[in-house]
Amino acid sequence: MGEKILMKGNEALAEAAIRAGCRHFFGYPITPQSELAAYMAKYLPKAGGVYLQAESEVAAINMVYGASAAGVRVMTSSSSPGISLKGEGISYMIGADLPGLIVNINRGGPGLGSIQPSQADYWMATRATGHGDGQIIVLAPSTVQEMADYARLAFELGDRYRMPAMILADGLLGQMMEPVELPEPIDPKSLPAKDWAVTGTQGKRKNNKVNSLRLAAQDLEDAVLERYARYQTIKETEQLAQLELVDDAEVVVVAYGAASRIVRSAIMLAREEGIKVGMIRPITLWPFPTQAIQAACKTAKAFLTVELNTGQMVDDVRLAVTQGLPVSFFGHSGGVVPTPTEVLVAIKKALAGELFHILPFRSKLEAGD
Amino acid sequence: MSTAHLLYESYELMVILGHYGSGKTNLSLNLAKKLKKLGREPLIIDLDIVNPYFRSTDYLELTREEGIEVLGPVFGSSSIEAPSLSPGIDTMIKNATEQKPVILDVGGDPDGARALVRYTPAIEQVKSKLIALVVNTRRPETQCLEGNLAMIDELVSTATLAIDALVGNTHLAELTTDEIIQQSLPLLNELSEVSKIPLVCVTVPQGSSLQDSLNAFALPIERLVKTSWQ
Repeated sequence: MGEKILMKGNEALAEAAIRAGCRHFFGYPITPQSELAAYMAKYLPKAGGVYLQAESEVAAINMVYGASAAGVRVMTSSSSPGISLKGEGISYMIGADLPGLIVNINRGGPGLGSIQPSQADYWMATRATGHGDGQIIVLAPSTVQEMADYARLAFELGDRYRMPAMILADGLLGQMMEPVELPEPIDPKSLPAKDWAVTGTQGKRKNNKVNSLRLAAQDLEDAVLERYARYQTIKETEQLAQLELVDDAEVVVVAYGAASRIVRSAIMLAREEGIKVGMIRPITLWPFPTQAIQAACKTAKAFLTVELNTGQMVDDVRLAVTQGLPVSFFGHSGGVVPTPTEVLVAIKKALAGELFHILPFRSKLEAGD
Repeated sequence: MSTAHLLYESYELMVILGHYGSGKTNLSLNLAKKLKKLGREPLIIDLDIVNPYFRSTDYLELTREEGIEVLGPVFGSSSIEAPSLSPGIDTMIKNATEQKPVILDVGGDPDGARALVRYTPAIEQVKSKLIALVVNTRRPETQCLEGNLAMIDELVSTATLAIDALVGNTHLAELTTDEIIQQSLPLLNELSEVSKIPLVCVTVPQGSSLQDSLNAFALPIERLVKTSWQ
């Protein structure tokens, strides 16, 4: 570990990926993730790697597929509309059991939407990044330091389970600057060899195949079920969440990414007023940290989910919560960022036993309607 | 007695250049606040068409409270990604006076400085001006002498303006300590010596004990550029 320096989230993630042994980046620019690609364009060749700006997002993800099949650590990055375009390729990677890092610096949607920060892609990331019966690992950083730390973790998990891993961050995390301590670099040559990779047999072994096409129904079901068993292992062993002031909390707020930063400020305001409130910050969005939520059900009276969307992760919280405890929601969408004071009001409502799903229509409120 | 105030007191126009994250916007906002206190009517022109967030234009509430005028990119606070600047900028630069000074908050790196070139003829007409380079030695590309010299070379050749002054602005956002600022001094002095550009001041957090030890060089500033939850 070196000394702390000041970096943008996008830059820190890019540098950390290089230090995690990634030498191949294929992408296409889009705000608010463009600094990530720009950093790679500048520094990846200096590290002996390949940066290639593809002709489209679809081309980029298929280049990731190819490089991954050849056994190297490879990544792409984009923002929401670009991830939609990559969906097909991500599904092919799942079907071919290929690891690879996909970064989504989430902006407001649907459609072209806005370039402001958003968490509207939670469902896309955790439910259906592409078609088919499959999953990807999804990590949600909340600081610039975590943008760097989770890049390495995503490569490790992806390689271990032979599946794509996504870092789902919002525009705020991509754009904001914070002090960061970068991890020590790994030499890509020191990474464990992938015996499944298509690297050429040199006439010494049976040829490996990387493919997602299985025309016989039974072949395909076998592959899906083998993958499903892997997903069960991941759900049991890889859940990650950060707990803050949960031990005595009557209200437990669940929030990830930039929303967790706002919630932390709100919790500090609430605690000053003597309100017992804590936070569970999911780090892995898939696998969702149900264990942490279930443990908190022993002491909590109510749950509140705060998101930068109209209510997506709240579904997973409801599925995890036991004993019929109420799960309320507060959020803003489209790139509008909630304030700590707004969240404090929601915490108090939850404490008072109210069950609600609030999306303040800020422009109507300001107009006095 | 501090002389750091000379950085902002006697100019009609200040151009603030630097690497991404060097603290150009925070310095611009601080200088405008200080000028306002002196009874002047500063105008910040946000030339940052590179960054989508965290520009001068994003602090309109703060500047409105302080009575500081900000002229941003045409679509600056609308999230529209169109790098278009106001047609009035030329005139505003030419009309700058000591009473109504103009601060040009330029986008980061040579990429951001490219937007400045169009105004070089207007800037050259202003008699009393200062082209300042903000240096944060805790940013990856400006951590060493070579990195800073390369940044200066690229900025000067892109902006087609010579740099008059260096402003030391080493910071780690909320983790900035006196020690971090002190550690930056040898590099800043060396950079000044090699580049032959005078180091006119070093920013320090308001109330820091460095204000006394650095005396002439210390420019106390506040952290005005923040995230929405701070």
